Amino acid sequence: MLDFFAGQYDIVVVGAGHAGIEAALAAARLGCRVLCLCTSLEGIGNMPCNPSIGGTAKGQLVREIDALGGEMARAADAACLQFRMLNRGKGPAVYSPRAQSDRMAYRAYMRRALEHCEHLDLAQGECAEVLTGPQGAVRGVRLVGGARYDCKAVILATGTFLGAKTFTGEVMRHMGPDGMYSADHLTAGLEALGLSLRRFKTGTPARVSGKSLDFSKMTPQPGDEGELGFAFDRTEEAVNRVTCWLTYTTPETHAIIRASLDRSPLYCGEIVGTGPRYCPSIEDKVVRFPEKERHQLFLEPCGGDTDEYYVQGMSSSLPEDVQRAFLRTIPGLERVHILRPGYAIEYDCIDPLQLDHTLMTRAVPGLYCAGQLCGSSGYEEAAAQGLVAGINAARRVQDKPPFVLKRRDGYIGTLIDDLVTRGTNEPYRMMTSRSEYRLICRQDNADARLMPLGHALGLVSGRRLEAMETRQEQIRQEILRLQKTVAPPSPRTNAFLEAHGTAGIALSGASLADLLRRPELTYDALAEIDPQRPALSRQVREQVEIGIKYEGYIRRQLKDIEEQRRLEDSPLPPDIDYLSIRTLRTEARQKLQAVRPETLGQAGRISGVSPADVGALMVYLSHREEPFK
Amino acid sequence: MASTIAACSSGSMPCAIAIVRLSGPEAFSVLDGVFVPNAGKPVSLRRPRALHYGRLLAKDGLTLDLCLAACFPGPHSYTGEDLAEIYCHGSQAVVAALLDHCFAWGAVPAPPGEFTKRAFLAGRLDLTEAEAVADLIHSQSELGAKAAVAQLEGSVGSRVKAIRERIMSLLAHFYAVCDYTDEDLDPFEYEKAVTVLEEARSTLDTLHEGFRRGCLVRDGVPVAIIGKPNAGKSSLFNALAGSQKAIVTDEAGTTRDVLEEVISVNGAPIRILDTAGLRNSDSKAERMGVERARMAAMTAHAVICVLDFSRDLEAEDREVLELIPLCEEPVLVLNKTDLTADVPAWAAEVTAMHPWKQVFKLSAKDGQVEALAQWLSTLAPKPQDVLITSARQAHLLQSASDALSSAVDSAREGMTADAFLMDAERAVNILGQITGETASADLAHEIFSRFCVGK
Repeated sequence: MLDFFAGQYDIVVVGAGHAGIEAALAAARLGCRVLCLCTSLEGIGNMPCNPSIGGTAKGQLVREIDALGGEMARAADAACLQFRMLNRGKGPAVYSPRAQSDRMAYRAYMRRALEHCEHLDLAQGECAEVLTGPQGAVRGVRLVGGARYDCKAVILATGTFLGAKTFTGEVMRHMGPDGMYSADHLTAGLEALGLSLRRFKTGTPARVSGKSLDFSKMTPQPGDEGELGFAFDRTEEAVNRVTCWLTYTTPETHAIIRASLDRSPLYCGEIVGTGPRYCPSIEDKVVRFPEKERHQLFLEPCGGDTDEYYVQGMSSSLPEDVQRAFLRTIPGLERVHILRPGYAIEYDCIDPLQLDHTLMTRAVPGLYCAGQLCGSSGYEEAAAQGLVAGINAARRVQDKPPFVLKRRDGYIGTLIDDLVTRGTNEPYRMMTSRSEYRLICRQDNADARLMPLGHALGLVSGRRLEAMETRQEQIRQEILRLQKTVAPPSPRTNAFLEAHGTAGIALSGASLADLLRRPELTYDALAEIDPQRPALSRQVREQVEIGIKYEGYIRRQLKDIEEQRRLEDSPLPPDIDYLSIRTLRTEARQKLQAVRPETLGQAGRISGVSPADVGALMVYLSHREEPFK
Repeated sequence: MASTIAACSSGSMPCAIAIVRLSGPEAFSVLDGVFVPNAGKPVSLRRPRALHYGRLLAKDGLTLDLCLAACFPGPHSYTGEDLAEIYCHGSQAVVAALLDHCFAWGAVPAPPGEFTKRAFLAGRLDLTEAEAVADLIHSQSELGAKAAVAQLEGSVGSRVKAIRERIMSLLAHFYAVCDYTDEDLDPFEYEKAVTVLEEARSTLDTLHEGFRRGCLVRDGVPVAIIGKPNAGKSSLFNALAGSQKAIVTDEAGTTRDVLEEVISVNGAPIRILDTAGLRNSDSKAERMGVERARMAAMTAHAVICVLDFSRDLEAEDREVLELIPLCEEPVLVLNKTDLTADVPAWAAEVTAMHPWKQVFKLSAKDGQVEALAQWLSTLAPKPQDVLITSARQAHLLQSASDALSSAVDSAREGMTADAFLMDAERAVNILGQITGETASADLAHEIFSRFCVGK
């Protein structure tokens, strides 16, 4: 095939899924000339799995993406069909926004965003090779058709397309998600560059026709009222336009699945990729938890203008006839019509331990990876990585220092740190349990945490930053006011307190802040004995309440962060030969040599490096600076 | 370049044999300078890890001692460096002259713990092992040594691990429920959580109690001997020490009025506090001594009250007896039975006066202390208890227990689980410092392995 020079860019982004979109937009908005490639322009911003954005920990990611100047939150708000704040009642650390999304509206929004972005070109094409220069750094890309683009950095965001195979029972296809073709040319080139690749797998359930469902046998799952959506500058409430439906599997469902296991590609060894434990197929669930008599599932609409429903909880790679048979044993699905069967998909991805915290490969300077290619799973995880890779690729091109988010900065920092220091043996999903600072890194305060950083980068406008600062000032003022305002021990106050099931107050009275600390009382409830209160937005009221109720915990977590800072900010010289440090256990020497952590804190999180090894490393460093006399 | 260090590595002198250790690149040349084998080649050229007989030289070239020496070439030595050991007679004069000669050959005095530190730096020990070795060295008795060895082998670790796992599964449950809102999981119940946290805390407190007992093993169970002057306290002490081949430490507070000696009674470490005679005195110094004796008696874990069987009960004896209600585990020793066969009239009165744990009639002078020694040995903790001798571990256990207490308190006050479990998670992290595990990555693993979650 004849190669031809097709153009010159600062950065080429390979893929226009959730990672590729954020990467391309961020880099272009930071002033780089960007080419965004995708195998099909129809696939931009596609949601080939569940039609929803957010959820526990993922919702936090979306809010953080918004605070840093990413696009996902605004797209999700524009395509919102139903909005919920999960885990209300379990505490603010785990409140998580989640929206059902109109898939088509989301894709249209994102395509428009890319098309209208300055310095950004879209092109349909499959990347065949990443080209490198004399120092091994990125020089360009070559496409399958022979087109060669020169560039200074490449961001790979290939999702589940690389060497993809799908499985439905005995039927295996060389195919990407949602019937799109797979990208089969790039893997060999990446291996030639010294990157090690592996196979992961994931799966998706069947989509069914709404008119074949009997919703009267299911429990409606309405959205929450009065919630604002994902983007911080949004002032209007999210509108709930659809309902989701809950139903359960039956013993017959399980019997059919058990009887058909020998026809599953998972159980007869066709699939070699590692699947996620947290996202098991229904056949996995039935096998691993035989004592459970039923599993719940949700019917979720895929859009406002379509009758297609997603059967959440029933991911399966069993043959089509089995899927049809077991779905029909579920109340409400007796006459179900399958629009598309479920399938498992297997794809190439890299071991993220080969990346540094900017998501650049250590082997090839200028080559960045983001999204499912890095071993993660989920749209939100992908978008977060895309944003960080896009920012860093742009900063590299512009000779600016790297942008690294720490674990203490939030979920994005935690996600990337987990991937590049701990690695993962299965598709990695974000969870609140993965963040040690979850009471500080909440969804409601992502703006205060990250907007100043986003503004400094050049992705958040001064107007947005000011709006955030105004909110923060209102929060500070209101907390101060509540601390200073004393409720008198009047019969009226005490009657109010008694009515709320809490003790009356003594002669000296009590500050409104003290009262708010009582679990029985909320900020809104206190309005009755607080006539002077200013009119404040729901966002501000909520944070005032959290700030006061959880003050002690927040302060302690901040102290933890301070203590960790000693380790987190203590750099490890890049030239350490770990293999020669005799005080480390053998496993620790090898892991450290391979991962090459940038700080002592990162070293401690590498699996196989024990606290005693970190101690030994600290001793080694002190001796390195001050050798034996 | 590392220095070559030299120090006496055995215990206090005088004793039968003292061990002088040399470690570092020049260890062998220093050895060859101070030690001449009886036949032929220097030790460094002979078979390593074997004993060689020869003459030890002082700086002036005169023979100091006839003794044994051995070479342990690195890296397969304790410190990982070239290591030499000289086994000479345990006289302070010999050892001092030998070390002096070693320093003349270029060795430097080893700071405390330097040999173990080098062993650690050479990768021969990890930090927790190094910690246990330090305790092993400092343990005063067989029981103490057993506790340190048990710690080396991880008896504390396995208990802590079990508690940690219980709290982890609680955390995993809560976060599984939060992270998988669409799954049909058992609801997280606050009441149950509080029960689990309280149980964990009480187990930790029991373990922490093991530190107090561990200290008793390491430092000896304090037992005070009180009595008026000349009641026979010192002979009783000597009899106890002598008959049991006392391990005499040089840590005794010889400058104070209360003498402390740790003796090993049937393998149990007992720290005898030999108090000044309790009598009224006008001398200011003596009054202070008496006051200290009273303090020692009141803080000791047991008190041996010595009365002279051969004499009448005097006012000073009665003053001693007045202290008894303030003491723990008092035993009565009626001493000097060798002087008279008659039971004095006051004996019955004194025996009935207090709930004595035991009453012994004996002659300390004749060494009749077996029964008393037998009783003393029951005061020491049992070796099968989990004993904790590391102050670091004890501190961590205490912090973990405190964290669980605040978790329980906040849960009771009605805090949400995300907040009160923060303290539980803190406890998990602290306990991980004992077992050498870190928490957060394990939590996700726990969730996946225990719960049926999916999409």
